[in-house]
Amino acid sequence: MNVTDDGPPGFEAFYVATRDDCLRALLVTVRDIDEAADLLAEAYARAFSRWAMVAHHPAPVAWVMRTALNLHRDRWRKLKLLPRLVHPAQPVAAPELPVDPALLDTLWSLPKRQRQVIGLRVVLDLDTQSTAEVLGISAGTVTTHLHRALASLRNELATEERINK
Amino acid sequence: MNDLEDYPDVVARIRNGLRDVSLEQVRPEQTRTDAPETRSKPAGPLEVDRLGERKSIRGPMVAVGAAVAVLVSGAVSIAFLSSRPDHGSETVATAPTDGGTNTMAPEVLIEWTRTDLPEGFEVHKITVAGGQFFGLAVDELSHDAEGVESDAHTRLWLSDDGADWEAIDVDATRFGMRAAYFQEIDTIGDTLIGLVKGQPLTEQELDVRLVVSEDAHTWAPADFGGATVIPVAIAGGDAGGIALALAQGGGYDTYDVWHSADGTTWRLTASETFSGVSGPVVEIIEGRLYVGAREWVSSDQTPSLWTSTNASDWTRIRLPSLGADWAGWAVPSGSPGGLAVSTGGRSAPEVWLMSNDGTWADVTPVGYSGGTVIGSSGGGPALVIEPGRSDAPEDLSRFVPATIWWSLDGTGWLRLSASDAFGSEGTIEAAASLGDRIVVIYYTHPERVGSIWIGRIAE
Repeated sequence: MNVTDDGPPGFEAFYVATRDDCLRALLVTVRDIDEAADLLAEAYARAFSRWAMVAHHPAPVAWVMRTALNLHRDRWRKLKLLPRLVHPAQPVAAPELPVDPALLDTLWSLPKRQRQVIGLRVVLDLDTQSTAEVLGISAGTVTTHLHRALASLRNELATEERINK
Repeated sequence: MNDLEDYPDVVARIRNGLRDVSLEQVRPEQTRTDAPETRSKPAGPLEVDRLGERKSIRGPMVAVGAAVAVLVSGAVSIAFLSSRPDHGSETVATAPTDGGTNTMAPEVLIEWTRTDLPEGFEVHKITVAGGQFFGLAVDELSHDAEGVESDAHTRLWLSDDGADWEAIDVDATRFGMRAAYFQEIDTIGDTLIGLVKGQPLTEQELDVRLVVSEDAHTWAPADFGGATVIPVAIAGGDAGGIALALAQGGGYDTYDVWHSADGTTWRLTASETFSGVSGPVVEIIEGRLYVGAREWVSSDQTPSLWTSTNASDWTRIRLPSLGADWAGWAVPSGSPGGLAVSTGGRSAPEVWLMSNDGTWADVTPVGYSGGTVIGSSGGGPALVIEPGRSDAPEDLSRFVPATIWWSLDGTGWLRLSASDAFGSEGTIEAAASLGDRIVVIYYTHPERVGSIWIGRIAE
C-alpha cells in the first residue's frame, strides 16, 4: 500500500506511528502474522478513505483495531461456509519472527478474548475503556480477562523458565 | 482493580518480546510512504495495491464506544453522613462531598448494607427487569485449541432485594447455542426478553440472538418470521418492545427496527432507518420509543436521538450542543413523561436533561468527570458511576477512586466517594437501581475482595 501525504492531512504520520504496534497487537490476537498484516492493510485502507472522520475519533488507533477485528470476524463468518476446507483458529507457526517462540506460544495458548485484551491493553497500551469499546464488552469484563490472562502468563512463563534453568 | 500495575514483569516481557516485530519485516511493500507524482486526493473509494491485487475499498464505517443509559425519577433531596465500615455484613450511612451547582442539599441519609458475594457470583452487568435485579454472568466465551467457543456461563443471578441471589443456569441449547452469555434483559408485559451472545451449535463464529422466557429458567428463540436477525439492542414495555438489529443489507452502521407485542413474535417495522450510527441504545418511556446513537455528521461523532410511537415512523429530536468530544449517549426511562439524559465529552463531560416539552437543561454536577451512566426500569434513582481505576487513561501511574453520582430527579446530584462509603479504595464492577435502593458490586484495591453494597434512603 502506498500511503502518502496526498491523502487527508495527518494520515501518514498516524500510519507510520501506529502500524507496528497494531501489527503486534493483531499478531497476539489472530496468531498468524500474514493474516495480521492483511487485516491491518484493509483496516488502514478504510481509515484512509474515511480519514476526515477517523482523525476526529477519540482514539483513531482503536478505530483501526476495531475495524481489523471486525474484518477478522467476518472472515470467519465466510469461512464457516467452507468448514471442511478450512480448519479454524489454529495457531500458525512463525519461525522467522524476531520473537521468543516460548513467549508467542504462551500468548497464543490463551483464550481468544484474553488474547484480544492483551493485544489492546498491553501491547497497544489502550486504556481499559477504549479496550472495552473496541471489543464491545464492559470495562469490568476487560479487567477480568486482563487479570486472568496476566496471571496465567506469569505462571506459564515462570514454569517455562524453571524448565529451562 | 489490579490491572497492569500488579504484573510489571509480565507486561515488560510481552512488550519487550514483541518490540522487534514490525510491518517492514513481513510486508515491506506495505510500509512504503514514498510520495507519488500527483498529490490530489482520491475522488472515489481508495484503491489499494496489495500483493499485486488491485482492490476497491468501500469499507463500512466502524466506530467504537458503548452506549449508556440513565434513569431518573421522582424528586427527593438526600444527603450523606460519614462512614467507616469494616468487613462483614453491616449497615452504615455515608457523608456528602462538597456540593455546588446541580448538587442536592444535605437533608436525608443514605444507608449502606454490605453482604458477601455469593459463591461463583461473577457478573459483567446488573440490570432490572420485571421488578427484579438480574445479574448477568461474565462473558467467558473463548476459542480453545480446536477453535471452538466454550466456557461461557449462561447463568443468571436473580434477586428481589439485591442481597439474596438465586443462580439460574440456563440451557443454551434450547435456543441453539452450545455456549452463550446474556448481554441484556428486559420485559414485554410479563414476558422476559434477553439478548444472548454465544456460539451456535452448528457454527464456529459467535452470534447474537434474541430469546424469550416466562420464568427466567427456560429460554426459547424469538420468532422473526424466518429472517436471520442480529439484534444489538432491545427494550420492552407494557405494550410491546423493540429490537434494533443490523440491517439485512449488511454493514456495521445501519440498523433495522423490529417490533413485538408479546416478545415472542417480531415483525420488521423500519428497514435501514438508522444509518451511519454506532453504539445504539433503545428505550421505551411512557409508551414512546426512543433510539439514541452516535452519528457521524461531517467529520464528527455527534449524539443523536429519534422517537416514535409506532416503531415505523421515526422523528429526530433536536438536541442541545453537546460538543464534539463526546463519550456517550443515554436514553433514560422510569420518569414521568418523555425524559432523556445524555453525557457528553471525555474532556468536558456533561449531563443534560430533556423535559416533557422537549427543552434541554444542563444539569452537569460540579466535579463530574465522566463515567458510565446506569439506569433501570424499576423507578430507582439515576446513577452515574465513575468505576475507578479501570476507567482512567492514566491508570498505570495513579489510582482513580470510584465515585457514584446519585440523583432522583435528574437535576440534583450527589457525589458519593466509594472509598468513604465502603471503607476502602476499590472499583465498581456493576451497579443498578430499583425502587428505593441501589446495588453496587464493589472490589477493593488492590486485594480485589468483592462485596455487594445496597444503598437505601434512610427513614
